[in-house]
Amino acid sequence: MKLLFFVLNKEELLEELLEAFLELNIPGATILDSVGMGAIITHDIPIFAGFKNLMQGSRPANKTIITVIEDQMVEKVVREIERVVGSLSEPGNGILFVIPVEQVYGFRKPFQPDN
Amino acid sequence: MKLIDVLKPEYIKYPLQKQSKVDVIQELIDVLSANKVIPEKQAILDAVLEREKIMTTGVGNGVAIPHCKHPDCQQFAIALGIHPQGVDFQSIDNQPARIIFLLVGPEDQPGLHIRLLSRISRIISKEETRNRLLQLTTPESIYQFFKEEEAKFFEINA
Repeated sequence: MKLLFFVLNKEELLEELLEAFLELNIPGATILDSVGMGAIITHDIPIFAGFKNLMQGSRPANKTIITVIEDQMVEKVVREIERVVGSLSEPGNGILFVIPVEQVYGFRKPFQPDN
Repeated sequence: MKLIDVLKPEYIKYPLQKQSKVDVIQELIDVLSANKVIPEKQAILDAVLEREKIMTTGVGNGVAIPHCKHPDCQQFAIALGIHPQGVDFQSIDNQPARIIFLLVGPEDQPGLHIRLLSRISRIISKEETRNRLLQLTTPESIYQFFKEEEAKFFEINA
């Protein structure tokens, strides 16, 4: 199992992304309202206000999506995320990382295929 | 790199004497200009005031850090002035600014610019540190103070 941690910069794409997750048979994810460091630095700390233009792709807020998936799903999920948000090599589309999970408890089973 | 690489004793002025924000900024620009570390003074003043329009650099607690980047600046330089009575800087807490840094630097090194601003801000963030600084009355002792305070921090990547 892997923990997939994705910071979605373009919040307007959340719905489409979750629909893609459903299509991929990912039964659940945790979605957090989050704010990037760049946004806080340039909007909330007066001394850095002159650097707003530097925070390429920075938005006032973003969404952090956390989900646990099977190892073999990682490539597929990442591909689908990029299909929705655009290449993650481009700045401003989001940050994604995947880390191994040792134990999982309280996890809902994936949706069963239709009979 | 350290702050004290760009904040030299001769860039420190005690006391600042002017009574307005613009005049005090000009006073510090004059210090850097006299040391030949900045190009034409008016261009720097214009750039600093342009930055002030975005949001005041009077960050509160008696500290102001006016700054600018300018294409004619070849290197970073920091001037520091102490204004014993304090001057209105339209600071976020409406308190007069007594510790005023002027940071100028090249346009093409925003990362280092941010790191230097952060370092100034961190060194001066503690009330006890500010109070000790405000006891000092000579450029040499103020420079020595920053040298000792900055020794507690890691070196900034240039």
